[in-house]
Amino acid sequence: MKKISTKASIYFLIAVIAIIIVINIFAPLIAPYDPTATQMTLRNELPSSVHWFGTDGLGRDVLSRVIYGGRGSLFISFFATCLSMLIGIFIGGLAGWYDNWVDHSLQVLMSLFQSLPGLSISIAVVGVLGPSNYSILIALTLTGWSGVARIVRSQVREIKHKQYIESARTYLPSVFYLLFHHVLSALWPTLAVLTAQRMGRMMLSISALSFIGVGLQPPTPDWGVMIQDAKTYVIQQPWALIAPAVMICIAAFCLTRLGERLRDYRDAQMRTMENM
Amino acid sequence: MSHLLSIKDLEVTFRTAEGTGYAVTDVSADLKPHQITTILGESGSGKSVLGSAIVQLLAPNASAKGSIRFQDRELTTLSAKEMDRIRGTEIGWVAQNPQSALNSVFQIGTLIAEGPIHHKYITKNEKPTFVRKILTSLRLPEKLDKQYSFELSGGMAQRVLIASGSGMVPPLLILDEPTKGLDDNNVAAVKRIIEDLAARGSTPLVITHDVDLAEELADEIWIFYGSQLVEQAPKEAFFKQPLHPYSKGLIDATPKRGLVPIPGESPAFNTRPVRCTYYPRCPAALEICRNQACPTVTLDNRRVKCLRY
Repeated sequence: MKKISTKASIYFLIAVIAIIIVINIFAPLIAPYDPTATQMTLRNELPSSVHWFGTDGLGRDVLSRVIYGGRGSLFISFFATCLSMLIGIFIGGLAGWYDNWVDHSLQVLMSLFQSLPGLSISIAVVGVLGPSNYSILIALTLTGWSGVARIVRSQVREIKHKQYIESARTYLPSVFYLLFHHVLSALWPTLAVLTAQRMGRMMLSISALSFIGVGLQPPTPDWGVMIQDAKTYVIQQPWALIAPAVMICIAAFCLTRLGERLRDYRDAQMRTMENM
Repeated sequence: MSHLLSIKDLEVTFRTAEGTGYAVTDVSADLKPHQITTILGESGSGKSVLGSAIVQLLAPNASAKGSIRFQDRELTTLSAKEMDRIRGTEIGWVAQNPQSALNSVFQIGTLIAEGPIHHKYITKNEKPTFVRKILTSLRLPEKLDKQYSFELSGGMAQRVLIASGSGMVPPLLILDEPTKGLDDNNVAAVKRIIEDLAARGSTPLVITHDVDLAEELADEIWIFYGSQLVEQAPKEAFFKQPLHPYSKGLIDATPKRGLVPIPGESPAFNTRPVRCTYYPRCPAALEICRNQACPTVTLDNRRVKCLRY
């Protein structure tokens, strides 16, 4: 079997993710039924030509709900990733640049947040703030930024000793500009890898939160919520559970896999650059 | 005040896992303005460290003692903020190895103009004109501003690096090995640029190990050996009659003067030197050189650190 090249698989993964995103954005146009409309006479129908994935315990069309189901988690995971990346870059950048107390205190902060058990803290935060999109966002950002900061810090520590940084240091008066312009410019490949991986993980976390009931709330059509709803009738109508589960798997797998493939691609590029 | 820069009793040490390393010891020197001074010395003699000490950008494990006065300001006691203001505007620095000293993700025009823009020397709108002016003055094609450093040849990259360091015509411009790895044409071009900069009001301080370059370019020559400044002299006098035995050895080791190597090896720097660091290799060593500290003697307009004078 021919080995698929890194670049080809990156394009493929991006295409799959793009399709999922497009489907969710245009869900109202694509979905055959209203995802929240109940039909008590048609509860737990098995797949048929009318309802491709059947209906759930309240007679709602599973296909329509699956098509809508990524909206919340994609949207929130995107913003939570962006937010934790921004905080992580800022704090990790400062910690990596300075060798003094700034680094020490920020490292303590990072360790503190990284030692928190992610899911439990998320549950606690959502529990205190009440379940809403904002509290999920806050919970995920709170537990997500420290990992980013750690990676950024170690990268900055390496890059700041490069000659072009030391050279720019001799004519640039602003350390901030030097750090967040020159140093960061060398970090883009790493950040791309991180963003994809983080977003995959965030999606899983949101689904998990929704499943245990503190994430997105019913009747919102969300993959995690759907699994929770469907588990009661899993013997009669397994498709109501399988369909959203498969979607979560595809979305999260593609995102994390994209991160890994981007990393492979970056590493290969670095090697060729070093051999030049 | 006739000196642009006065260094007094400078000592730079590095803390390492193996102990303390002495990179610069007992260095005192005065830099005269509006002429080209060249620091000559072999690799590891401490000449680049001296440069970093002047711009206050030593590695975090280094510490400096002594005084560096620049235009009536004591650089060693200035705050980091004040030093940031001086660097680039008043003391320029041109790093070695231009290909790796230029950030390859930014266009050349950005690299040349970002320092002046951030120091408010020019505004953002003046950038294209400024970059064009600098490129022309360095005899580089104008369209270079949209290119990236990896697209340049070694000689061009060196000139671009000089451009990014000297854009604001700093009164003191330190150039670290500006001709390393360049062919004769490019060396000549760089030499012309340095002379131009001197004519425009900068005082270039050129760090090099190229004796021929120093002979052609410099007005004043400083010789570094084993962490110490062993001789300072005007060029003509220096090449006519080098005073320090190491200077003699250095000149005799050049190809056009017989290629006579200096026997022995460069010293290690894990202890503070008490006697002349050249003593173990010195063909003219005296008995007193073995255990006597070596003062710097002033003779007319030159200084030499040797017990023979």
